[in-house]
Amino acid sequence: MEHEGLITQWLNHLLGQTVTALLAAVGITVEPGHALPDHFVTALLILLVFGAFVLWLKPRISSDRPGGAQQICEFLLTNPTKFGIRDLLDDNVGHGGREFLAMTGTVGLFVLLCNLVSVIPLFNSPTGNPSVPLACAIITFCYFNAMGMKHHGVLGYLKTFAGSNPFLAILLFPVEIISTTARILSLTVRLWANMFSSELLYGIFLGMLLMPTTYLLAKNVFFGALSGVFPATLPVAFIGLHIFVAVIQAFVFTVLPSVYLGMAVAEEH
Amino acid sequence: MNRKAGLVVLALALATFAAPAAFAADAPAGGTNWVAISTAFGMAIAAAFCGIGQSRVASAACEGMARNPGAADGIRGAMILGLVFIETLVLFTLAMIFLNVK
Repeated sequence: MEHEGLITQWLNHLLGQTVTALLAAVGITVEPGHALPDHFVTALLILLVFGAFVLWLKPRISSDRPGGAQQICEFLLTNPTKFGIRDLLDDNVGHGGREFLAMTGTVGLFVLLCNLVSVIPLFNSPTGNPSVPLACAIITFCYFNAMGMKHHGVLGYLKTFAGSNPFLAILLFPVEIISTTARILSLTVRLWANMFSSELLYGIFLGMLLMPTTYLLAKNVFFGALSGVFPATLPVAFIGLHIFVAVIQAFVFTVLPSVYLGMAVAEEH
Repeated sequence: MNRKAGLVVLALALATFAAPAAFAADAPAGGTNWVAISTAFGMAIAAAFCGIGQSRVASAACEGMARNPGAADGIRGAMILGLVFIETLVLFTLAMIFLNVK
């Protein structure tokens, strides 16, 4: 926590007054020294670093002689294993899928990087704090509804919730509205709970393995140091699990918006 | 037309914001903490049914991969996706514990 806490402390020192004043103007009170939370600063850092990387990459993009970085980024788009972002959009949305590529890809990549950043020793995932997945879910919700309304018109989009049978529309409409609105909750909790629980699992097993070490260190430094091998090596398996869960959850957070987009712009037969 | 669409989307977003924040009921001072007991039982039941559900997914995937080794990659992808969604339901219950239990 020190390193990330240092960046947060520095930013709070720099911008604390401004941020507190701005938030007070909107009606939110925060503690004066801690206006900017850790997860916000980490997410901002990810944004800046990845933005710098993209700005570095852009002039180096070439069709004739692609470099390594360009090929890696192209793998994210389209993949022999059919799990690239553009492949997912083509599968789930069909025809007009590629116009949604920018938004879906950005949210998916942001979630992936936020999930993976906690592998770096002194960082916590921003997605482990419930507000970051909530923000991603709200943006996705607003986006797929806006795209649905753009495609069908506002009334036409609302009519798609009524189903094809006019007699069942009374029953179906509220159910569809509720289930569409519940997508925010499910996207948020899925991402947050997975990240939170995998970090928690790592912390729990690290703590359990540290108990004999701390006990033995008090008794006998040699055996304590010897048993320190276990907490140093075994939790790596949980870091591996965390990486696996992080990548899968980022994938799910990309597949689901593309499915929702496909459902929003779908034409009735 | 774009402005009207934008206003409707804004109204929908505000309606979802208007839902009150989650709050937990306080246990009576010195009484039994029913919230903790019930969420623990809820978590156990959720984990049990998750185990049953995920075992069905995994066994169907294994059987499919055994019958058709060429489709193994696609089946594996579908298996992972299925497992993730079932696990999510259990994690909803876990989130309930962290939100409700003092």
